[in-house]
Amino acid sequence: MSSYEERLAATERALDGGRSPGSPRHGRAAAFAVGNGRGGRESSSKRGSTRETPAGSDKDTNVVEAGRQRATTVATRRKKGGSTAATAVSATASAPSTQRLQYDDPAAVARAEKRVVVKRVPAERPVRLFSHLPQYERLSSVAADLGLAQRQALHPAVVRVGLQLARQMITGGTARVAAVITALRAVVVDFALDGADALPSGVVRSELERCLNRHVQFLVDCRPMSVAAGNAVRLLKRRLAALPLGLTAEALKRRLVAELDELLTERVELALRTIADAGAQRIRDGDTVLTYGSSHAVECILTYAAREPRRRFRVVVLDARPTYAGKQLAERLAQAQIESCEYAPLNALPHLIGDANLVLLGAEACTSNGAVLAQAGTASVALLAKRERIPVVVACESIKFTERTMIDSIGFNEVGDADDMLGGERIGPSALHPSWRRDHPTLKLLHLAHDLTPTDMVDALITEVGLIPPSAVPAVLTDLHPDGI
Amino acid sequence: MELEAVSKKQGGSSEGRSHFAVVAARVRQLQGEAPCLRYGRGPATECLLGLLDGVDGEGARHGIETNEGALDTLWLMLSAFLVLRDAVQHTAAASAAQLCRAVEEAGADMMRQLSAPYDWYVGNLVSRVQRTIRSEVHAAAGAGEVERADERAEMLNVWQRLPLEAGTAPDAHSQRGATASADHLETQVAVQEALTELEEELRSSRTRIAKQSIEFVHAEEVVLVHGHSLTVLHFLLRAAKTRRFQVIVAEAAPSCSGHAMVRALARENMDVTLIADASVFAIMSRVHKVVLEGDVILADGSAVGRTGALLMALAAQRHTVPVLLLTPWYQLSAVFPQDFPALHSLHSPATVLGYADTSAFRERVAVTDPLYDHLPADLVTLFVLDRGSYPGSFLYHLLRDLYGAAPGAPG
Repeated sequence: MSSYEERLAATERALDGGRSPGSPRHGRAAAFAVGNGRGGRESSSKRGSTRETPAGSDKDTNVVEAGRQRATTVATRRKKGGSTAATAVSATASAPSTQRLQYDDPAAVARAEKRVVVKRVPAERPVRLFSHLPQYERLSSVAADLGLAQRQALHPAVVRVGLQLARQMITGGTARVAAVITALRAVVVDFALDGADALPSGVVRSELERCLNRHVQFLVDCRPMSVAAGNAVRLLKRRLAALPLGLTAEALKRRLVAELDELLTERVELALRTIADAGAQRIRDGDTVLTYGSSHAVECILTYAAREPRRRFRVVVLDARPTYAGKQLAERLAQAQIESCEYAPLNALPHLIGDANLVLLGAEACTSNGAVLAQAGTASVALLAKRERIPVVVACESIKFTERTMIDSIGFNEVGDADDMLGGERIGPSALHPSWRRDHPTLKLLHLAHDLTPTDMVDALITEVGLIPPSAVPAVLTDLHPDGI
Repeated sequence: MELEAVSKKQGGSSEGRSHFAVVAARVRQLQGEAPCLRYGRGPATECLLGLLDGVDGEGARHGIETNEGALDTLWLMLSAFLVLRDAVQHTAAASAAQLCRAVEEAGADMMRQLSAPYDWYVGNLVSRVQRTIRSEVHAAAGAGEVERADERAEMLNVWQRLPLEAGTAPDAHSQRGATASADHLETQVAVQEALTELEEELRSSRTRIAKQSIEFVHAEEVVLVHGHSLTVLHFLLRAAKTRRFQVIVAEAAPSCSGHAMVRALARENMDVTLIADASVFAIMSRVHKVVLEGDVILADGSAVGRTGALLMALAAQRHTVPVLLLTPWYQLSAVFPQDFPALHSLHSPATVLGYADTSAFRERVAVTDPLYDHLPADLVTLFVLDRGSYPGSFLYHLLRDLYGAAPGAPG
């Protein structure tokens, strides 16, 4: 039973017993659980059209009363079992929270389109295999697409982060979640409502929530959120809902900023430090460590291992088109006094794997069925390493764990800009011309961001909760987030 | 078209050799340039094309243009074959040993001008020509003598190992042959005919591989290929004449020859998608067949291919997708893989990290750009040759067919 249903059942029991609905928490939770159907949360898109905000009715009454009334209404509706609103709520309450909007469902897409802040242009040459994922043309300029009014309603920090995400200036799971948390923190800090002191705190809270939803929707429009960033946003909303009633606007903001800081510090910064320590213990003098792409967690491990105490080991960084993420990692490692660095394209892996002692990889997400979603190409590295009996270790913070289960790289992925596949000068005259859509009507370019490494190809995950096998992810998730994430 | 132009060349051996020198120079130039220029026409290529105009006229130029500027290996093989045929024609003696020696010398001369894998091809061609010469000479010499009919039958038996050393039967035959001038002429004619058949086999090898495509590629299938290969291109286009299917091309970084491949396929209005090598594992669950061309096939059934082929074949094995290796016969080599670094040629690292990149990082980082991968025998499902398709376990038989017994083998 999901937590929402539990709360609803508790409220019903309380109502039936004639008592006031327990602690204010129950009423509030019911109110906010009902209210959670609106807004631009990608994972709640299944819940369909936006619901009318109940804030208007709260102006004159105690929000607990309103909560009680709403809970009663919902409870009676459920008992009657008729109303579409109730059935919609109960139907969506039973759908898993990890279900996403599927983009080959035109009705759902049309409903989601109403909420977008930045209109994206659909890709001219989409790949049919991935028609369930959003495929857009490159976001050329946010300023042109945003109306002036909308721009005024968005915090400049969020606009900047959105543009950086869209232009791939911020890449990598860790960087993206840190950027999103920092941007939302700025939104909360600068949140101001006219006459906030006079309004009931429920109004301020719902306005703040609506403001946050608008900014999250903007970030999602710029680039679909990474799994870690999505987890962070959901955690934030859960903590906002759990804050006690009766807080002034300032106190609310202070508490929320404290929650955000705690999220960033504990789940990202301290987690990376723990991972670096744990990972560095496993690197000895004379080792050859092979890594692929660019992962901040892996970089932390390697720089830590090179410093305290100083160990002499060799790092081989593999890289792949079209992102060339590994190049910057190799550069930073060379500057960080690693004994010897090598840099090679992914296809050179068979040539280089013979010397490797350890394959250290980063992740975008770890699924509940033990698979690892990571930068495209990671699965090939893990496959060959397994065949050569070299340990494959993935460094991953627990904020990247997801309740989702994935069995292949097709169901959940990100399709990037097709034009990223053009080589341009690096390839030379044989490269495809930017006018490839016109020149070749049957040609499609596919830029896939991620791939899924199956469970049996990963030996261990290094996380801040310890060195765990990939199959332990759902257990860790349940421990960390008993109410779900 | 250029193949016909080449084969029309007649004349003395010196002309053939100078033509081959031009071809070898073109090969070296294409191999030596960074792969980002390999498939284009830089100033050096233009100069070479000018040279070729004098030798071959329009044919060569047209051939280069239709092949996206890529080296057409068949062109190289045909040029090499001409040199060998000239060597045979201009050798005075009729004994198999002397003909073989002349062919060997001409071949060694050519191989010196080439680098891997093209020198392997020429070496295999030399072995094939020698085998052809020997079998024809023995057959012709044995035809006049009834009492050796059973021996001739034995000689022509494909299971029989023919002696490669000059010591035994050929000399006996040559002594007999020297006395009878009519035999000499017949032998010459027989050898020439056999060589013409071999030339025809060379010219049609790509077409005959392509003709088998309808047995392998069916409607609504998704075929994955790696980079640019003329053999694979003709294979797919032949099947596309009658069936609709999709092709996914992995771009084969860092040379990115896959871009030229998608252009060639899209020009024929095929449904083609270009993916990065990194996405090969991700896409493999939707692929029905993998079609590759190797560079050299070794005697145990393993193959040497361009980098990226091994990762693709491993992903295919994981998803139980059949891997077809299209093999012109001259890629089959009677060599077992032992110490593999011999074939680990590295290419210029400039394609991976440009020289224009002047960061301090470039000084402290070693860059590797290997050219070849070794695919173990268990990864290849089927070798598709011009004469049919075979599993790797049958290659020993084909090797014996093509080149005769291994040197030093008893018998």
